[in-house]
Amino acid sequence: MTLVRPTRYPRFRRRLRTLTAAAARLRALTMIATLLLVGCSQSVVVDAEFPEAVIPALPLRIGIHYSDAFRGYQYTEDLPNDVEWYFDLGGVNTKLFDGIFSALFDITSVVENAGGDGAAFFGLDAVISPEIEAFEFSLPRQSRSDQYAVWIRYNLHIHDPTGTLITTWPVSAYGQSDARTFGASAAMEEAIIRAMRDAAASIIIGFAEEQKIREALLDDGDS
Amino acid sequence: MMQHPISIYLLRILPAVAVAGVLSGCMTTRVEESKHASTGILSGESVVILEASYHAGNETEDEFVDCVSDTLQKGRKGLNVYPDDEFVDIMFPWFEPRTMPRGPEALPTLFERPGLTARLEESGVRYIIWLSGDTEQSGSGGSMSCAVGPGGGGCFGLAWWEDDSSYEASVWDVQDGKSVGAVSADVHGTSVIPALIIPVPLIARTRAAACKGLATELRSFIVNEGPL
Repeated sequence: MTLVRPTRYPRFRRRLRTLTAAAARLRALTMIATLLLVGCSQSVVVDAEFPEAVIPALPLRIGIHYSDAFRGYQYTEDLPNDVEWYFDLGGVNTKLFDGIFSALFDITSVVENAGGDGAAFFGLDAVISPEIEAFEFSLPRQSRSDQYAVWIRYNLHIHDPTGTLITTWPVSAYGQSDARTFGASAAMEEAIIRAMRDAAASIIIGFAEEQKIREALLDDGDS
Repeated sequence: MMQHPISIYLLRILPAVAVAGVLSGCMTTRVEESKHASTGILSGESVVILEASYHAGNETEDEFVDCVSDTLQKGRKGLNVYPDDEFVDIMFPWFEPRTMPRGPEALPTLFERPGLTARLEESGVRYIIWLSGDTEQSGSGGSMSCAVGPGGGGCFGLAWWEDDSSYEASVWDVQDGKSVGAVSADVHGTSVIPALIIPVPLIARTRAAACKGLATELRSFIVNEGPL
Protein backbone atom coordinates (compact mmCIF):
# COMPACT_ATOMS: atom_id res chain seq x y z
CA MET A 1 0.00 0.00 0.00
CA THR A 2 1.44 3.38 -1.00
CA LEU A 3 1.09 6.30 1.32
CA VAL A 4 1.96 9.95 0.74
CA ARG A 5 5.05 10.65 2.77
CA PRO A 6 4.48 13.34 5.40
CA THR A 7 7.53 15.32 4.21
CA ARG A 8 6.18 15.59 0.61
CA TYR A 9 2.58 16.31 1.57
CA PRO A 10 2.89 20.17 1.84
CA ARG A 11 4.50 20.32 -1.64
CA PHE A 12 1.64 18.22 -3.04
CA ARG A 13 -0.90 20.58 -1.49
CA ARG A 14 0.93 23.62 -2.92
CA ARG A 15 0.93 22.01 -6.40
CA LEU A 16 -2.76 21.16 -6.03
CA ARG A 17 -3.51 24.76 -5.06
CA THR A 18 -1.55 26.03 -8.11
CA LEU A 19 -3.41 23.65 -10.41
CA THR A 20 -6.78 24.63 -8.91
CA ALA A 21 -5.98 28.34 -9.32
CA ALA A 22 -4.90 27.77 -12.94
CA ALA A 23 -8.12 25.85 -13.66
CA ALA A 24 -10.16 28.64 -12.09
CA ARG A 25 -8.32 31.25 -14.18
CA LEU A 26 -8.95 29.16 -17.32
CA ARG A 27 -12.63 28.84 -16.44
CA ALA A 28 -12.88 32.61 -15.87
CA LEU A 29 -11.12 33.34 -19.18
CA THR A 30 -13.42 30.91 -21.01
CA MET A 31 -16.46 32.58 -19.43
CA ILE A 32 -15.23 36.07 -20.35
CA ALA A 33 -14.48 34.93 -23.93
CA THR A 34 -17.94 33.35 -24.19
CA LEU A 35 -19.59 36.50 -22.82
CA LEU A 36 -17.65 38.65 -25.27
CA LEU A 37 -18.61 36.43 -28.19
CA VAL A 38 -22.26 36.36 -27.13
CA GLY A 39 -22.19 40.10 -26.51
CA CYS A 40 -20.80 40.78 -30.01
CA SER A 41 -23.39 38.87 -32.02
CA GLN A 42 -27.10 38.21 -32.16
CA SER A 43 -28.09 34.82 -33.48
CA VAL A 44 -31.59 34.27 -34.85
CA VAL A 45 -32.37 30.68 -35.81
CA VAL A 46 -35.94 30.89 -37.06
CA ASP A 47 -38.38 28.13 -36.28
CA ALA A 48 -42.12 28.37 -36.71
CA GLU A 49 -45.28 26.47 -37.50
CA PHE A 50 -47.45 27.96 -40.23
CA PRO A 51 -51.23 27.59 -40.34
CA GLU A 52 -53.04 25.61 -42.98
CA ALA A 53 -54.41 27.90 -45.69
CA VAL A 54 -58.17 28.09 -46.25
CA ILE A 55 -58.16 27.92 -50.04
CA PRO A 56 -59.33 25.41 -52.64
CA ALA A 57 -56.36 23.67 -54.30
CA LEU A 58 -55.62 24.38 -57.96
CA PRO A 59 -55.91 21.28 -60.18
CA LEU A 60 -52.17 21.11 -60.85
CA ARG A 61 -49.45 18.50 -60.32
CA ILE A 62 -46.37 20.44 -59.23
CA GLY A 63 -42.80 19.36 -58.64
CA ILE A 64 -40.92 21.35 -55.99
CA HIS A 65 -37.20 21.80 -56.14
CA TYR A 66 -35.34 23.21 -53.15
CA SER A 67 -31.76 24.17 -53.95
CA ASP A 68 -29.04 23.57 -51.36
CA ALA A 69 -28.68 27.36 -50.99
CA PHE A 70 -32.39 27.64 -50.20
CA ARG A 71 -32.43 24.68 -47.81
CA GLY A 72 -29.51 26.09 -45.85
CA TYR A 73 -30.10 29.82 -46.19
CA GLN A 74 -28.03 31.86 -43.77
CA TYR A 75 -27.36 35.57 -43.64
CA THR A 76 -24.86 37.56 -41.62
CA GLU A 77 -24.51 41.30 -41.37
CA ASP A 78 -22.09 43.20 -39.21
CA LEU A 79 -23.73 46.55 -38.54
CA PRO A 80 -21.54 49.58 -37.85
CA ASN A 81 -21.74 50.59 -34.18
CA ASP A 82 -23.77 47.51 -33.44
CA VAL A 83 -23.42 43.78 -33.01
CA GLU A 84 -23.15 41.23 -35.79
CA TRP A 85 -26.49 39.69 -36.71
CA TYR A 86 -26.65 36.07 -37.85
CA PHE A 87 -29.80 34.54 -39.33
CA ASP A 88 -30.59 30.92 -40.15
CA LEU A 89 -33.73 30.52 -42.25
CA GLY A 90 -32.90 27.20 -43.90
CA GLY A 91 -35.16 24.80 -42.04
CA VAL A 92 -38.11 27.15 -41.76
CA ASN A 93 -37.95 28.04 -45.48
CA THR A 94 -38.74 24.51 -46.62
CA LYS A 95 -41.40 24.18 -43.92
CA LEU A 96 -43.10 27.35 -45.18
CA PHE A 97 -43.03 26.38 -48.85
CA ASP A 98 -44.12 22.78 -48.18
CA GLY A 99 -47.20 24.28 -46.51
CA ILE A 100 -47.83 26.84 -49.27
CA PHE A 101 -47.57 24.34 -52.11
CA SER A 102 -49.52 21.54 -50.48
CA ALA A 103 -52.41 23.99 -49.87
CA LEU A 104 -52.18 25.56 -53.30
CA PHE A 105 -51.92 22.49 -55.55
CA ASP A 106 -53.71 19.17 -55.86
CA ILE A 107 -50.53 17.11 -56.02
CA THR A 108 -46.98 18.06 -55.07
CA SER A 109 -43.74 16.12 -55.05
CA VAL A 110 -40.15 17.09 -54.34
CA VAL A 111 -37.81 16.75 -57.34
CA GLU A 112 -34.02 16.75 -57.36
CA ASN A 113 -33.50 19.41 -60.04
CA ALA A 114 -35.50 22.23 -61.49
CA GLY A 115 -34.73 21.58 -65.13
CA GLY A 116 -31.68 21.79 -67.31
CA ASP A 117 -30.39 19.42 -69.99
CA GLY A 118 -32.44 16.32 -70.47
CA ALA A 119 -34.86 17.18 -67.70
CA ALA A 120 -38.30 15.78 -68.31
CA PHE A 121 -40.89 15.75 -65.59
CA PHE A 122 -43.45 13.23 -66.75
CA GLY A 123 -46.76 13.52 -65.00
CA LEU A 124 -46.08 17.02 -63.72
CA ASP A 125 -47.56 20.29 -64.98
CA ALA A 126 -44.64 22.37 -63.76
CA VAL A 127 -41.68 22.52 -61.41
CA ILE A 128 -41.29 25.42 -58.98
CA SER A 129 -37.96 26.32 -57.47
CA PRO A 130 -38.01 29.07 -54.81
CA GLU A 131 -34.98 31.15 -53.87
CA ILE A 132 -34.26 34.06 -51.58
CA GLU A 133 -32.92 36.90 -53.68
CA ALA A 134 -32.54 39.43 -50.89
CA PHE A 135 -32.88 39.68 -47.14
CA GLU A 136 -32.82 43.00 -45.31
CA PHE A 137 -33.63 44.14 -41.82
CA SER A 138 -33.73 47.29 -39.74
CA LEU A 139 -33.40 47.92 -36.03
CA PRO A 140 -35.51 50.34 -33.97
CA ARG A 141 -32.63 52.79 -33.63
CA GLN A 142 -32.18 52.85 -37.43
CA SER A 143 -35.86 53.45 -38.20
CA ARG A 144 -36.36 55.65 -35.09
CA SER A 145 -39.41 53.62 -34.20
CA ASP A 146 -40.21 50.79 -31.81
CA GLN A 147 -40.14 48.20 -34.59
CA TYR A 148 -37.78 45.54 -35.83
CA ALA A 149 -38.50 45.22 -39.55
CA VAL A 150 -37.61 42.56 -42.13
CA TRP A 151 -37.87 42.50 -45.92
CA ILE A 152 -37.47 39.26 -47.86
CA ARG A 153 -37.54 39.05 -51.63
CA TYR A 154 -38.29 35.57 -52.90
CA ASN A 155 -38.05 34.48 -56.53
CA LEU A 156 -40.19 31.61 -57.71
CA HIS A 157 -38.65 30.03 -60.82
CA ILE A 158 -41.35 28.13 -62.69
CA HIS A 159 -40.33 25.55 -65.28
CA ASP A 160 -42.45 23.56 -67.70
CA PRO A 161 -42.20 19.72 -67.77
CA THR A 162 -39.30 19.87 -70.24
CA GLY A 163 -37.29 22.05 -67.89
CA THR A 164 -37.77 25.29 -69.83
CA LEU A 165 -38.21 28.35 -67.66
CA ILE A 166 -41.76 29.70 -67.95
CA THR A 167 -41.26 32.68 -65.70
CA THR A 168 -39.58 33.97 -62.59
CA TRP A 169 -42.11 35.46 -60.22
CA PRO A 170 -40.66 37.90 -57.66
CA VAL A 171 -42.50 38.05 -54.34
CA SER A 172 -41.65 40.78 -51.85
CA ALA A 173 -42.56 40.31 -48.22
CA TYR A 174 -42.45 42.53 -45.16
CA GLY A 175 -42.83 41.90 -41.47
CA GLN A 176 -42.40 44.02 -38.36
CA SER A 177 -42.46 43.33 -34.68
CA ASP A 178 -42.78 45.47 -31.59
CA ALA A 179 -39.50 45.89 -29.73
CA ARG A 180 -41.39 46.62 -26.48
CA THR A 181 -43.15 43.26 -26.42
CA PHE A 182 -40.23 40.95 -27.21
CA GLY A 183 -36.46 40.93 -26.61
CA ALA A 184 -34.13 41.84 -29.52
CA SER A 185 -33.65 38.31 -30.95
CA ALA A 186 -37.25 37.27 -30.30
CA ALA A 187 -38.59 40.48 -31.88
CA MET A 188 -36.40 39.96 -34.95
CA GLU A 189 -37.51 36.31 -35.23
CA GLU A 190 -41.15 37.42 -34.97
CA ALA A 191 -40.59 40.03 -37.71
CA ILE A 192 -39.07 37.31 -39.95
CA ILE A 193 -41.99 34.94 -39.31
CA ARG A 194 -44.44 37.75 -40.15
CA ALA A 195 -42.53 38.47 -43.36
CA MET A 196 -42.67 34.77 -44.27
CA ARG A 197 -46.42 34.68 -43.62
CA ASP A 198 -46.71 37.79 -45.78
CA ALA A 199 -44.88 35.97 -48.58
CA ALA A 200 -47.12 32.94 -48.14
CA ALA A 201 -50.25 35.13 -48.33
CA SER A 202 -49.01 36.81 -51.50
CA ILE A 203 -48.17 33.50 -53.18
CA ILE A 204 -51.37 31.70 -52.16
CA ILE A 205 -53.66 34.54 -53.22
CA GLY A 206 -51.62 35.80 -56.18
CA PHE A 207 -50.47 32.60 -57.90
CA ALA A 208 -53.54 32.12 -60.08
CA GLU A 209 -53.66 35.86 -60.82
CA GLU A 210 -50.11 36.07 -62.17
CA GLN A 211 -50.49 36.55 -65.91
CA LYS A 212 -47.67 34.35 -67.24
CA ILE A 213 -48.49 31.57 -64.80
CA ARG A 214 -52.18 31.72 -65.66
CA GLU A 215 -51.45 31.63 -69.39
CA ALA A 216 -49.04 28.71 -69.12
CA LEU A 217 -50.77 26.56 -66.51
CA LEU A 218 -54.37 27.55 -66.01
CA ASP A 219 -55.79 28.98 -69.24
CA ASP A 220 -55.15 25.90 -71.38
CA GLY A 221 -58.11 23.91 -70.19
CA ASP A 222 -56.34 22.30 -67.23
CA SER A 223 -58.21 24.42 -64.72
CA MET B 1 -66.56 48.43 20.24
CA MET B 2 -66.08 46.22 17.22
CA GLN B 3 -65.07 47.91 13.98
CA HIS B 4 -67.08 47.13 10.85
CA PRO B 5 -65.07 44.84 8.44
CA ILE B 6 -65.56 47.35 5.57
CA SER B 7 -64.07 50.13 7.69
CA ILE B 8 -61.02 47.98 8.38
CA TYR B 9 -60.70 47.21 4.70
CA LEU B 10 -60.97 50.93 3.81
CA LEU B 11 -58.37 51.84 6.41
CA ARG B 12 -56.03 49.27 4.91
CA ILE B 13 -56.38 50.37 1.29
CA LEU B 14 -56.55 54.13 1.98
CA PRO B 15 -52.76 54.66 2.26
CA ALA B 16 -52.24 52.65 -0.95
CA VAL B 17 -54.86 54.74 -2.79
CA ALA B 18 -53.32 57.95 -1.45
CA VAL B 19 -49.81 56.92 -2.53
CA ALA B 20 -51.07 55.86 -5.98
CA GLY B 21 -52.89 59.17 -6.35
CA VAL B 22 -49.84 61.17 -5.35
CA LEU B 23 -47.44 59.14 -7.49
CA SER B 24 -49.41 59.30 -10.72
CA GLY B 25 -49.04 62.18 -13.14
CA CYS B 26 -51.74 64.51 -14.39
CA MET B 27 -54.04 63.14 -17.13
CA THR B 28 -57.06 64.20 -19.13
CA THR B 29 -59.17 61.49 -20.75
CA ARG B 30 -61.77 61.74 -23.51
CA VAL B 31 -63.73 58.67 -24.56
CA GLU B 32 -66.31 58.96 -27.33
CA GLU B 33 -68.48 56.57 -29.27
CA SER B 34 -70.47 56.83 -32.45
CA LYS B 35 -73.03 54.14 -33.12
CA HIS B 36 -74.95 53.77 -36.35
CA ALA B 37 -76.56 50.35 -35.96
CA SER B 38 -78.00 48.43 -33.06
CA THR B 39 -75.78 45.92 -31.27
CA GLY B 40 -76.13 43.05 -28.82
CA ILE B 41 -74.37 39.77 -28.21
CA LEU B 42 -75.63 36.30 -27.27
CA SER B 43 -73.97 34.11 -24.66
CA GLY B 44 -72.36 31.78 -27.21
CA GLU B 45 -71.02 34.61 -29.32
CA SER B 46 -67.66 36.30 -29.03
CA VAL B 47 -65.63 39.23 -30.28
CA VAL B 48 -62.13 39.26 -31.74
CA ILE B 49 -59.77 42.21 -31.38
CA LEU B 50 -57.37 42.77 -34.26
CA GLU B 51 -54.92 45.55 -34.89
CA ALA B 52 -55.29 47.47 -38.14
CA SER B 53 -52.64 46.68 -40.72
CA TYR B 54 -49.12 48.05 -40.42
CA HIS B 55 -49.09 48.07 -44.21
CA ALA B 56 -51.49 51.01 -43.86
CA GLY B 57 -49.11 52.76 -41.47
CA ASN B 58 -50.80 51.68 -38.24
CA GLU B 59 -48.47 51.23 -35.25
CA THR B 60 -50.79 49.95 -32.50
CA GLU B 61 -48.69 48.25 -29.87
CA ASP B 62 -49.20 44.49 -29.31
CA GLU B 63 -49.42 45.07 -25.57
CA PHE B 64 -52.29 47.55 -26.06
CA VAL B 65 -54.26 44.92 -27.99
CA ASP B 66 -53.58 42.43 -25.18
CA CYS B 67 -54.62 45.00 -22.57
CA VAL B 68 -57.96 45.77 -24.27
CA SER B 69 -58.59 42.06 -24.79
CA ASP B 70 -57.88 41.24 -21.11
CA THR B 71 -59.94 44.16 -19.79
CA LEU B 72 -62.89 43.37 -22.05
CA GLN B 73 -63.21 39.80 -20.79
CA LYS B 74 -62.55 40.61 -17.13
CA GLY B 75 -65.29 40.46 -14.50
CA ARG B 76 -68.78 39.03 -14.32
CA LYS B 77 -69.99 41.14 -17.25
CA GLY B 78 -66.94 40.30 -19.35
CA LEU B 79 -67.34 39.44 -23.03
CA ASN B 80 -66.06 36.29 -24.70
CA VAL B 81 -62.91 37.36 -26.54
CA TYR B 82 -61.60 35.00 -29.21
CA PRO B 83 -57.76 34.95 -29.22
CA ASP B 84 -56.55 37.22 -32.06
CA ASP B 85 -53.61 35.01 -33.12
CA GLU B 86 -55.86 31.97 -33.28
CA PHE B 87 -58.46 33.83 -35.37
CA VAL B 88 -55.82 35.01 -37.86
CA ASP B 89 -54.50 31.43 -38.07
CA ILE B 90 -57.87 29.78 -38.72
CA MET B 91 -58.59 32.39 -41.41
CA PHE B 92 -55.11 32.17 -42.99
CA PRO B 93 -54.21 33.90 -45.29
CA TRP B 94 -57.21 36.25 -45.38
CA PHE B 95 -56.53 38.28 -42.23
CA GLU B 96 -52.79 38.88 -42.68
CA PRO B 97 -51.67 42.54 -42.58
CA ARG B 98 -51.44 42.59 -46.40
CA THR B 99 -54.70 40.78 -47.13
CA MET B 100 -57.06 41.77 -44.30
CA PRO B 101 -60.33 43.46 -45.37
CA ARG B 102 -59.93 47.22 -45.48
CA GLY B 103 -63.61 47.96 -44.92
CA PRO B 104 -66.78 46.17 -43.79
CA GLU B 105 -68.05 46.23 -47.38
CA ALA B 106 -65.39 43.60 -48.18
CA LEU B 107 -66.81 41.10 -45.65
CA PRO B 108 -69.65 39.57 -47.71
CA THR B 109 -67.33 38.84 -50.66
CA LEU B 110 -64.65 37.54 -48.33
CA PHE B 111 -66.96 35.10 -46.56
CA GLU B 112 -68.23 33.77 -49.88
CA ARG B 113 -64.84 32.08 -50.27
CA PRO B 114 -64.98 28.34 -49.65
CA GLY B 115 -64.34 27.28 -46.09
CA LEU B 116 -64.27 30.71 -44.46
CA THR B 117 -67.89 30.88 -43.32
CA ALA B 118 -67.61 27.45 -41.68
CA ARG B 119 -64.51 28.55 -39.78
CA LEU B 120 -66.18 31.79 -38.72
CA GLU B 121 -69.23 29.93 -37.42
CA GLU B 122 -66.98 27.49 -35.57
CA SER B 123 -65.20 30.38 -33.85
CA GLY B 124 -68.46 31.99 -32.72
CA VAL B 125 -67.09 35.44 -33.57
CA ARG B 126 -69.89 37.98 -34.00
CA TYR B 127 -67.93 41.23 -33.93
CA ILE B 128 -64.49 42.14 -35.25
CA ILE B 129 -62.98 45.06 -33.36
CA TRP B 130 -60.21 46.81 -35.29
CA LEU B 131 -57.79 48.77 -33.14
CA SER B 132 -55.73 51.61 -34.52
CA GLY B 133 -53.66 54.41 -33.00
CA ASP B 134 -50.68 54.57 -30.69
CA THR B 135 -48.98 56.41 -27.85
CA GLU B 136 -46.48 59.14 -28.65
CA GLN B 137 -44.41 61.50 -26.60
CA SER B 138 -45.48 65.02 -27.52
CA GLY B 139 -43.03 67.08 -25.53
CA SER B 140 -40.43 67.06 -22.77
CA GLY B 141 -38.36 69.50 -20.75
CA GLY B 142 -36.71 70.38 -17.48
CA SER B 143 -33.37 69.18 -16.21
CA MET B 144 -32.07 67.02 -13.44
CA SER B 145 -28.57 66.31 -12.26
CA CYS B 146 -27.39 63.60 -9.94
CA ALA B 147 -24.08 63.26 -8.10
CA VAL B 148 -22.44 60.62 -5.95
CA GLY B 149 -19.65 61.34 -3.44
CA PRO B 150 -17.96 59.61 -0.52
CA GLY B 151 -20.61 60.91 1.87
CA GLY B 152 -23.55 59.80 -0.30
CA GLY B 153 -25.41 60.95 -3.36
CA GLY B 154 -28.52 62.65 -4.56
CA CYS B 155 -30.36 64.32 -7.42
CA PHE B 156 -31.65 67.83 -7.87
CA GLY B 157 -33.96 69.30 -10.50
CA LEU B 158 -37.19 68.63 -12.33
CA ALA B 159 -37.82 66.67 -15.55
CA TRP B 160 -41.15 66.34 -17.31
CA TRP B 161 -42.61 64.91 -20.50
CA GLU B 162 -46.03 64.64 -22.12
CA ASP B 163 -47.62 61.55 -23.65
CA ASP B 164 -50.58 61.38 -25.99
CA SER B 165 -52.41 58.09 -26.29
CA SER B 166 -54.93 58.15 -29.10
CA TYR B 167 -56.76 54.97 -30.11
CA GLU B 168 -59.85 54.06 -32.06
CA ALA B 169 -61.81 50.82 -32.12
CA SER B 170 -64.00 50.24 -35.18
CA VAL B 171 -66.62 47.57 -34.65
CA TRP B 172 -67.85 45.37 -37.50
CA ASP B 173 -70.78 43.03 -37.20
CA VAL B 174 -69.71 40.01 -39.25
CA GLN B 175 -73.22 38.53 -39.14
CA ASP B 176 -74.67 41.53 -40.97
CA GLY B 177 -71.43 42.38 -42.79
CA LYS B 178 -71.44 46.04 -41.80
CA SER B 179 -69.82 48.55 -39.49
CA VAL B 180 -71.85 49.30 -36.36
CA GLY B 181 -69.77 52.19 -35.12
CA ALA B 182 -66.59 53.16 -33.35
CA VAL B 183 -65.24 54.04 -29.93
CA SER B 184 -62.26 56.32 -29.45
CA ALA B 185 -60.10 57.16 -26.45
CA ASP B 186 -57.72 60.09 -26.24
CA VAL B 187 -55.60 60.50 -23.14
CA HIS B 188 -53.13 63.32 -22.60
CA GLY B 189 -50.82 63.07 -19.64
CA THR B 190 -47.86 64.87 -18.13
CA SER B 191 -45.28 62.91 -16.19
CA VAL B 192 -42.99 64.73 -13.78
CA ILE B 193 -39.92 63.69 -11.83
CA PRO B 194 -39.10 66.27 -9.15
CA ALA B 195 -35.87 65.53 -7.30
CA LEU B 196 -34.64 66.99 -4.04
CA ILE B 197 -31.97 64.42 -3.13
CA ILE B 198 -34.40 61.58 -3.94
CA PRO B 199 -36.22 61.63 -7.34
CA VAL B 200 -39.97 61.04 -7.01
CA PRO B 201 -41.41 59.86 -10.35
CA LEU B 202 -45.03 60.92 -10.95
CA ILE B 203 -45.82 58.93 -14.07
CA ALA B 204 -48.93 59.51 -16.19
CA ARG B 205 -49.82 56.08 -17.55
CA THR B 206 -51.75 57.31 -20.56
CA ARG B 207 -51.75 54.00 -22.47
CA ALA B 208 -53.17 52.10 -19.49
CA ALA B 209 -55.83 54.79 -19.03
CA ALA B 210 -56.72 54.68 -22.74
CA CYS B 211 -56.96 50.88 -22.57
CA LYS B 212 -59.28 50.96 -19.58
CA GLY B 213 -61.46 53.75 -21.00
CA LEU B 214 -61.73 52.14 -24.42
CA ALA B 215 -62.46 48.63 -23.08
CA THR B 216 -65.12 49.86 -20.65
CA GLU B 217 -66.88 51.86 -23.35
CA LEU B 218 -66.55 49.02 -25.87
CA ARG B 219 -68.22 46.59 -23.50
CA SER B 220 -71.32 48.76 -23.07
CA PHE B 221 -71.26 49.60 -26.80
CA ILE B 222 -71.50 45.93 -27.76
CA VAL B 223 -73.71 44.62 -24.96
CA ASN B 224 -76.35 47.36 -25.02
CA GLU B 225 -78.86 46.76 -27.74
CA GLY B 226 -79.55 50.15 -29.33
CA PRO B 227 -79.86 53.08 -28.97
CA LEU B 228 -78.42 54.36 -32.19
